[in-house]
Amino acid sequence: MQLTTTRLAVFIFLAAFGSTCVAADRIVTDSTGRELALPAIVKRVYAAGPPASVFVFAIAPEKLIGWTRAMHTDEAVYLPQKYAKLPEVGRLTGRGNTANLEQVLAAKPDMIVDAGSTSETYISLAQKVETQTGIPYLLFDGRLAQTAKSFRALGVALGEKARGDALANYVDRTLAELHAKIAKVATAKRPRVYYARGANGLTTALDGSINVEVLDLLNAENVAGKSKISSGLTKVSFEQVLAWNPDIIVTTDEVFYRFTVHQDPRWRALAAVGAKRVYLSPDLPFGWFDFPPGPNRLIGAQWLAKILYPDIFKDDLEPKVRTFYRLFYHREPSSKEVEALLNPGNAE
Amino acid sequence: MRLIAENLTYGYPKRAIGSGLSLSLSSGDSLCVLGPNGSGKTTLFRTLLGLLRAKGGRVLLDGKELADWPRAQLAQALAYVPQAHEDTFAFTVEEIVLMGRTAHVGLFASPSAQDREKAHDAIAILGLTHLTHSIYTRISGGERQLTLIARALAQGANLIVLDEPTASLDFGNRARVLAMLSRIASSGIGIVFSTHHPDEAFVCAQRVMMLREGHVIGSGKPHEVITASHLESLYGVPVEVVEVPGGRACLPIIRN
Amino acid sequence: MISGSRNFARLYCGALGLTLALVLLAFWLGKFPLSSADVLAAVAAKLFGVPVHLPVNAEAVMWEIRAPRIGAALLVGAGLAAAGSSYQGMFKNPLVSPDILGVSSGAALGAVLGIFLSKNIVMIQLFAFMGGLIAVGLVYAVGSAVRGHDPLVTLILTGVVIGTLLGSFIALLKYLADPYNQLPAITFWLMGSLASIASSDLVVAAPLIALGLIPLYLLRWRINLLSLSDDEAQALGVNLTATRLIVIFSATLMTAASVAIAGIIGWIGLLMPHIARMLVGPDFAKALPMSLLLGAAFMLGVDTLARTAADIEIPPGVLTALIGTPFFIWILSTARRGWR
Repeated sequence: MQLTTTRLAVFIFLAAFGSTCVAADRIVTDSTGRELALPAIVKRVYAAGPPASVFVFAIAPEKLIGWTRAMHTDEAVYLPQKYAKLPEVGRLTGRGNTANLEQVLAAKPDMIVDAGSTSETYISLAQKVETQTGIPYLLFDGRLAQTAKSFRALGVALGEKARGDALANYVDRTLAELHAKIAKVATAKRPRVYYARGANGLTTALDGSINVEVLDLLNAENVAGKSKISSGLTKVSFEQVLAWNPDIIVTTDEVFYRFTVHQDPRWRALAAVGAKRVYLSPDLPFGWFDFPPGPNRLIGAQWLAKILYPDIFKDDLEPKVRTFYRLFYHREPSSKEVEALLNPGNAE
Repeated sequence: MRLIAENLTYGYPKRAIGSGLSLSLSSGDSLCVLGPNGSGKTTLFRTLLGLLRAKGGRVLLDGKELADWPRAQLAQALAYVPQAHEDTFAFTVEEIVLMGRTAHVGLFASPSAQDREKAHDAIAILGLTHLTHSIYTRISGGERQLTLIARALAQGANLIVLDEPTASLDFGNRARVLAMLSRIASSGIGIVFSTHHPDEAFVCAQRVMMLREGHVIGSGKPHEVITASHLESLYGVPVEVVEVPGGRACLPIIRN
Repeated sequence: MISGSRNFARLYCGALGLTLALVLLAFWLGKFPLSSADVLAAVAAKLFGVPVHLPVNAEAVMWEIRAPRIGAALLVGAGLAAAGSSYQGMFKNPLVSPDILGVSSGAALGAVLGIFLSKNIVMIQLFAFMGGLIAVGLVYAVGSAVRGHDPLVTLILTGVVIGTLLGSFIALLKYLADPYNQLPAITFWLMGSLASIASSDLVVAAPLIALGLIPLYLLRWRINLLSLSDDEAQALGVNLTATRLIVIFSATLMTAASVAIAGIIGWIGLLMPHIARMLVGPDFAKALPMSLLLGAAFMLGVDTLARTAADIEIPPGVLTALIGTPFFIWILSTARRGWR
């Protein structure tokens, strides 16, 4: 260590005035390229939103201060109890704020982690919060293609390089395997998928939307296609769905899956419904297909791959689910639990 | 101070109301303008005050065209008393009269102690001192009209234009306002006012002008102008004119 | 409430006292656990440089979080109230709010556009500010070009029409926005909040709001004359067009700056000037300072409640309406004749 005397003087100065400055022990880079000074040991991490919670929980669950909203009982089953019971800490400003900065500070975090968009808006928000609170605010890219990189960087930041690397390796392997197998499928034979949202199923996501990253990953054709003006959600008419005539319908809405598809004669008339190719995405403890847009979707990608390409992905899903949950959620589910997970629409 | 209208054509951008009108008003004069509804009295007054541009001819104040007068100076010379109306905000009588001093108060300034004194003087002249701190919207119609006249006095103007000052006033308040106008006229301030009651001209006007559809159909001293036949051609109804002490009473003849 | 004489000094002192009390309360309250001793110690350290031992983060909480937020609440409340007060006089209508010429819709559109284009916070605020100014400029230009019978009514109608048009653009952008990242930011911003205020925001907004206040203060006597009929005001020597333009410019400056840092917060610009007039009368020279104090105090009270009353932050716009409405009804029923 260099300049010991100066550092000691700085320490005394800072302590004397109760400053919130942290002694800079190491520099870490986040997904935006910002270099942040972090303490040597990080013990308490505030995750600013749901995707970040998944990232941090996967690498270092003992360091997570809390969840953005408290775990429901049915979600809590799949996590080790001590982590399921972590308190609710809210989401940070800018994304639909429920926590205020004082609450964040009162939780005494060593650092704040956010994962998702790395646009200018969120970078400037991160810098603002950092300036106000003095807590380093790291922003990571939440997209599937960048997830491995984010795991590696976050692992270093948390002081858990080995864990971060292990998770990143899993991500790399899984994505590589998916890519390799799917690459053999001719473009003409790509499965045509409609992503139904909402109870009436008439909202969907356009190409490029973060909601359908998994479809993109699996090279499925999103029937809703591209739009020149939007890459988000859009409302559609049933006429459009009929015209698209998707092979497969994926949904995250239980009401749609259990009732609408069976009771509404229009939906019943669709080929995909007739062929019983409507699938409800599992979502415990975190969504498999869409919400939150974090690493939780990796098991969803494997699940959906088997649905879209049954001839290529013949392996049983159960061991994959167990491995994933053990690695990422620190609790291996039982056979019964896996079965319950894979059949979400048949709840008692 | 002398206000002269020369061969005036007046009206709105798309519509002329009257033409060929000439009049002259000096400090100490008092002119009463008679005319039916819609005859152009208000439009004429607005033109004389410089609030509306003359369409033809010109209006001169002390030899200078109104448009050439700086706004503040014009306000120091010419005052406008509209019909007393309900106001939106609850200003006091004092505050309303003080507004008359605007032309004497700098752009970014507030009225000075001297301005306040002049306002109080005007209030006193009008006999409204007991109402100084009363709310304008809560006093009677007559008192409101007197307040507006006080404001014109506070303005320090030499010429005052009053638009139907006695309209919607009860019998007693009419008398009070007329008495005040008469006093003001005799104190050397020029006044021109309009009214729907021809007999008022006898109380406080040296000259009368009859206006019908924008044109002057008679002008001169009250005794000359206010006759039964003139009134009939002005208002289109038969009129009985009766001599009374101090003037004439004019009554429409209503037959069943 | 108003009759004969009014004890102005007492009223102003009361309002000032209330504001100061709320400031002290706001420093004292908050989600971060700071004891009264800590608060006093922090103040001593800041003012006198006395070295003290404070809990970690206490200084950040006091001076980076609470102090800017309190300052912003005072500024925004005062600015909106002043804007509302001047507009109510100018439009001769006690039910007018500062948004009437479309400044809030314009600022909202600017901010939403900034969020949609993923700009950084400073740009978003700049877009909001410019959006507000441009919207009012547009309304004024169109309103003046249309030769209506009554220029004020024409202005108001133009403001409503253009405000609605801008609102539809906002709705369109909301529809096109990325639902996971942008839309929550947009919705949250439109609801208004002081939760993310930092000292950098104050540095920008304070001079703008002060700049807007200065012309209003200088013209405080003349603004009374705007409540007379056009003919009367002009005959008294007032340059109506110029005076109105200055009032519109000042009110727009203050409101646009407020919306840029705090989003849309309603009711204050409508309610506080009203109450101020009930207390001290309509003379703008008296109603303006009272509006400033009442607006500042109310906004601060509401914001302190918003950040301490529940687990989550309550949108201040909701609170201003919830508190303001019954309070206003109570005042209307106990006062003898409302604003008259």
